[in-house]
Amino acid sequence: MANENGGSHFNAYLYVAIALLILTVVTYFVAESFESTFQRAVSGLLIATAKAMLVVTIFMHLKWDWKKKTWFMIIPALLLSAVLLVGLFPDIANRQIAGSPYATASTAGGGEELHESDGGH
Amino acid sequence: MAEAASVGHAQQEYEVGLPLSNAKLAMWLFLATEIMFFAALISAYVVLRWGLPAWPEPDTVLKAWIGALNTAVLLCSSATMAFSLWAVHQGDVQKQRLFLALTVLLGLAFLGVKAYEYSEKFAHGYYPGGPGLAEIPSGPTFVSCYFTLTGFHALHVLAGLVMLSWLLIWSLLRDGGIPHAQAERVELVGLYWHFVDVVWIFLFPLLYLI
Repeated sequence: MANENGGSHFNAYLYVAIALLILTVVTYFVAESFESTFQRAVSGLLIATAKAMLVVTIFMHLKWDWKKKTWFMIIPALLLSAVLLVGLFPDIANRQIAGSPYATASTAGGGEELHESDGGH
Repeated sequence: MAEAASVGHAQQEYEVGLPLSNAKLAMWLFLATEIMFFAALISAYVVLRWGLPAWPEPDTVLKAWIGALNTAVLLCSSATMAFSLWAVHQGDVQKQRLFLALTVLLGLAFLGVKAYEYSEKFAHGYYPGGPGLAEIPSGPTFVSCYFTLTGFHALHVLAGLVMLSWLLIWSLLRDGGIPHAQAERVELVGLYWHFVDVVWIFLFPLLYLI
């Protein structure tokens, strides 16, 4: 059906395109205004997620194709990606590299040494 | 497609298969694998970066404005790709050719900006094993992450441009452009192109802003 497959979605495409450009500018200036890495990361990735949702729902037609069971392919992949990222946090949190700002006093100097010259091995 | 089955005196109708074409199903499955591919690369970057004591400050080695420019270019190419699908559905031959050509041009512009960035890095010695790495904190890991993430993304952009060029050539060579009945081919290439755009939407803040 033409309507179902993008024939009548010109206005939606146009508004989303304008919104994406505005959000890109916002991302740049908002991130530049923050000093800490954490604030930059949170603001940048939140806006990036909003932009990605606009692209996926409107440009990739997921808003209209959702009922066609497209979700069963995308949701598992997204869940696995989230698990992959979240599952790495204990690894990062428990890394005790000497000189790292994340090393605790009890393990300073006794933890893993990451040598830049040999690639960390 | 619905089929009828008789159970006793009752007639039941059931739908066989998915209400998606095989091609669209295959493309979404492929995109699911690509999500995992880039999730793995981004996870490696996260672990390496936050496991090191130092990292280049934002806007020092990588210029945020260039990343923002490239993001805008790729977003515009995503928009023109969507407009080209709309034009195919409308049967507007001139507009489909225009928007497909714009998509290809914007994709090439993205790669051009990337090539300029890379040439600048090479000129400063900021590449794996390069002489300039001592000047930047965690230099070897930084350049490895940067070139791996952006390099694989650029390869995906290149593959998308090959498909887009095929669509453009088809549209130009055929008298009535790409017919409405074949619009799904444009939609499938569009799905891939939008996905490449979504990946860059996340790479931009991760590499350039944080």
